[in-house]
Amino acid sequence: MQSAPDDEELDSLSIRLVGLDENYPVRLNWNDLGVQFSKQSIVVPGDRLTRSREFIPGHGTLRRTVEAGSGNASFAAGRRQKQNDDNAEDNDEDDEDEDEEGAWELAASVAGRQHVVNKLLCVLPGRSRYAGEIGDVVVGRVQEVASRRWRIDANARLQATLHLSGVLLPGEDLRRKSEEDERAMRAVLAEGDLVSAEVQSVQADGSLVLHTRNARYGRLGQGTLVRVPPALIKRSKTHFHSLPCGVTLVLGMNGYCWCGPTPGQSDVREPLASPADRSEVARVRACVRLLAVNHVPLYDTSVMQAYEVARESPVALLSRPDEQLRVARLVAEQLLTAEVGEAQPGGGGFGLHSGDLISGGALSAVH
Amino acid sequence: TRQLLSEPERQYIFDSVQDAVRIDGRQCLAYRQAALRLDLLCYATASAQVSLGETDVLVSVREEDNPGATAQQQGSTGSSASSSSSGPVSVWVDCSCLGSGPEQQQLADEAQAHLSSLYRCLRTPTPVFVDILLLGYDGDLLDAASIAASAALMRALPASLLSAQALPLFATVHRIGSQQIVDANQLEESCSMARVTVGVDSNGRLVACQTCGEGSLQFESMTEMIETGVRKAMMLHDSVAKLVARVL
Amino acid sequence: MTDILLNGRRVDGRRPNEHRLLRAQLGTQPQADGSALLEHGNSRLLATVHGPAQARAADLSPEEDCVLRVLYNKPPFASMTERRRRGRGDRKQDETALLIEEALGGVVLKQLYRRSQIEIRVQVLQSDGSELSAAINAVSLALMDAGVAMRGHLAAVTVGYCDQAPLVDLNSYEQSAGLPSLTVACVGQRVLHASVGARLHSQQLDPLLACASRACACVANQLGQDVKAHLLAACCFQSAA
Repeated sequence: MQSAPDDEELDSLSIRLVGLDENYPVRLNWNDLGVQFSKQSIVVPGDRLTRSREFIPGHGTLRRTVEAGSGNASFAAGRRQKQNDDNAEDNDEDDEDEDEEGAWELAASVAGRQHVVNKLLCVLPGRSRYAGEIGDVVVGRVQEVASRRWRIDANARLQATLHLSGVLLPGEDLRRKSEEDERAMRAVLAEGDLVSAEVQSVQADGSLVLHTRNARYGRLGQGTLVRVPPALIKRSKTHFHSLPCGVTLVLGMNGYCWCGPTPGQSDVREPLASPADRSEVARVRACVRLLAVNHVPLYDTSVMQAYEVARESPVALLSRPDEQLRVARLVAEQLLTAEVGEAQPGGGGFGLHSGDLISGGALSAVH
Repeated sequence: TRQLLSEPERQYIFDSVQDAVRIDGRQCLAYRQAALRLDLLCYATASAQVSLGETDVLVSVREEDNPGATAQQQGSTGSSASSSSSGPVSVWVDCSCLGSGPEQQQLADEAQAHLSSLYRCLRTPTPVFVDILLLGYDGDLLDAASIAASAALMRALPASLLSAQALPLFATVHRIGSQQIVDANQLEESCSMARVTVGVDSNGRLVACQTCGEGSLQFESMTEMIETGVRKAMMLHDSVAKLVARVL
Repeated sequence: MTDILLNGRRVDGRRPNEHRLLRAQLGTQPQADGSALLEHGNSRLLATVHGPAQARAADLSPEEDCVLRVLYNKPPFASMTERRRRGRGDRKQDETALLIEEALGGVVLKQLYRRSQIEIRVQVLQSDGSELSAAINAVSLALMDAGVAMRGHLAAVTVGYCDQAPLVDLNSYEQSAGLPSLTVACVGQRVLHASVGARLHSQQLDPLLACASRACACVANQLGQDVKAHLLAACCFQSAA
């Protein structure tokens, strides 16, 4: 299985000639697989969403007064429901004034797909930084060791914080001796270290506070990191997956995914992985990457299916866009077939067929 | 450019290379797939865009009509030809797509120095300007840039000129532990202690040779790396020649 | 000026009110948070967005506002006529970058990105006139790809005046002829930015502005189609809560 492609790899540089008008690299187009979103549900910034009062503005929306004649519009950015609490009073006051002046409407502030949950209307962009939600499992990289806290890059718009009090220490009471704090902190987590953690809270300014007060969280050992758009990570019961091929996969909700060899049962703290293990880790890493570039949602089922489809190919081949498209397409088709088979409207699946949320529903009647 | 990595990650990359299974599953001496797009720019004499993984390089070749302008722009190739019958090849590298920091500037300056030395002996009827724009970076800038520049120069210069002097290509060999690798990505580059870049023409002659890195090399290791580099550069020449035969 | 218009047609065969062909591709640079490749006639620009990310303490103002920075780069091979290499820190490029920053300041919802920084890099691969408006369009698209919140779609166009009538979307030939010209950037009905390219008579201002804002609406519509087509194909998902 490995011999012929090996020689080819070493003896020549594979050069893919791209035509002038050719679209390369080609990525998966869900429309080709029969998934159709209503065109109305896709919006760009400035598009009007609704004039109805019954909807609460969520992410990606903004409220503006309808421009009648030469009236100047006043803009108030829509925030998430939880973060809106501080501003709710201000907005209510504005509302009262606007009631007297004229109508207002909700418009999109990002380019993406409309989504309604109960009365909350938001627009989900295809790519964005991670916003954060309490209880999410994330993978982060330590940027800085400060006094009694670590500053973590969690793919958000602000650095996340991990307090010394939020870490499960191995029994020692490090907090007593304050002079040794900083040295001791670096022994737990140093700059550059990868750590799996949970979001403890989201501050008023949007920054995240993390904690690792659970045995499964903490510093990540040997392995490699893959960065994908956070929107592609499907929320599941667990984000730590021990795959049958001997690879541990951590799918952080913030888009940072970590693949490493599953440590064995031996007493050695960090046994060195075997070449076979490394090959499997490389394969899983390649699968995560190829699913991500082809806009396929990432969860244990999709990664395992990609692994099965790609099992026969040499791992190095999985970095080629043409091969990535082939595997992603097969996985997408399998996922769609499974979804249709389940026939559950709300639960299960990732809502592909229920994506057509807006067109026939409440909003189209509003205009 | 050094990346912020954890010690276990660095160790994993190091050990993986020792086991001859790189992070992306490649063998130690294998190149990534290259994608080549020709004639993208309509204002240049010839242009080529090459991507090796996520390293994306756009090269434009222009022949300068105004002889007066060249005297001011000899720049790093100032030491060569003062005679008017043949002109030098002048190289410019721009990495501003990666940012405006000192690291990107250093990357650009080093690449410019390397590529200028590669084309130092090339003689063209009119002065030629090779402009290299980096659009994305994941390691191995020099090899990708030399392939793109070669492809563009082959389109721009007359065939008679090319048969006389062969266009050289770069091959960069990194040393990680006891293993050599070629076409390192950004992570591997930040784990490598030393690298050797050789410029080789299609006749197998060494045109340029440069070592870089914080680690020191034993003499035997260095000669080994140079030999590997020359072998790999010849392989690149073969592949590029096959492609050119198809296209032209 | 007879060499600009001949029998009602311009040098490239367009009518005075015709904009050149626009085509946008989003997400071309996976390493960036957002990217867009814009083809505008013979012009070709690449804009990339990095962020919103944590701003460095040194860059923050006392009010801790969002830091929005634009880097504009036009390599020597980008234009047909000018072949000279500029040194680093070219003034014209810095000026263009500042103008784009100003225009963006009014459209990006900066209050949502306090203490964050958004860095935008523009590479001009090929230029055939109307550089500033092409750059603004490319940046607008890249910001949409990155999911940065904006009041609306910022679209720009460069218009000129010839034979008592406005010319939409000047190419390099027309721009170098020294026609009175105006670059206008609009969000919906509102004009966010207007800068004069070459000497303009005050009487020419009104008709040019009116023409430009109509043209901006067309540009926004056209580019919006490309954005929506990209989103439809990619099907942005949300993980079910």
